[in-house]
Amino acid sequence: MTNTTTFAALADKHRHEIIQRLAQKPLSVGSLASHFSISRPAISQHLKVLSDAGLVHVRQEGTRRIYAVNRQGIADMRTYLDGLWNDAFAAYAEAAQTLSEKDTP
Amino acid sequence: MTVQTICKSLSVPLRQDRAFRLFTDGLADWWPVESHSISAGQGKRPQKLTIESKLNGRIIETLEDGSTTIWGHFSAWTPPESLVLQWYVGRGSDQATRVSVEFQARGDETVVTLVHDGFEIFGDDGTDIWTQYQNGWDPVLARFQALA
Repeated sequence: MTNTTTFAALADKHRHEIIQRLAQKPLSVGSLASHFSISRPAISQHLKVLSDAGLVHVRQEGTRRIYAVNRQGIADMRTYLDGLWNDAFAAYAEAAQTLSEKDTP
Repeated sequence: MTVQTICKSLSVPLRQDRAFRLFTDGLADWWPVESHSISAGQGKRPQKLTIESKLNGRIIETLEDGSTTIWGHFSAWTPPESLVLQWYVGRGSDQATRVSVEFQARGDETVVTLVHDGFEIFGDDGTDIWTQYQNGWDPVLARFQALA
């Protein structure tokens, strides 16, 4: 999972709600869709994005596909946010240094 | 500090008001958009980042196609001491996590402390897993301190 796909994967209201639902318990697309006003194909598309980002995984149960939160993916997301602020702070520190040097010719 | 909290601190060689202004007014000049933005997720660069430096002001990313997405807004604005950012990149503001930033004057320098919390919105599973991973954060923080 790359940093940028995580940032983008969660940057959608419906995908975020899907994660919250699946965090409570694993569900099939059909059960999941019953909680949303958007279409089942739309839910499937969101699940694909989340799956590609490593945030959910799927298992086959008879004829049904059951989606669940990927615990490792959630941990990665937390690690991602940690890394986000590391990167942001490093860039901020650099900008502060540059600004400070401008003041002292 | 609860285990779900991300906490970062560093000292910058700027007086408090300038450190605050650089963080807010100057955000677009230093934020690493090439790796941390919606545009980056699409393999692109944003047209611009707009920061509304005021209470309830928003941080807005303008994508290459001209559409915009909101990262969050300032729910507390106390220059030059502190701010609180409701962080909900592309989501509804009801699904925000919370970023608090404090600027403490130390002579000609300023200690900037950032706390990102409010992760309970991701559910109990998330909380459990974060507890297990808390020990994994220390090396990351150590690397950051070496950088800063």
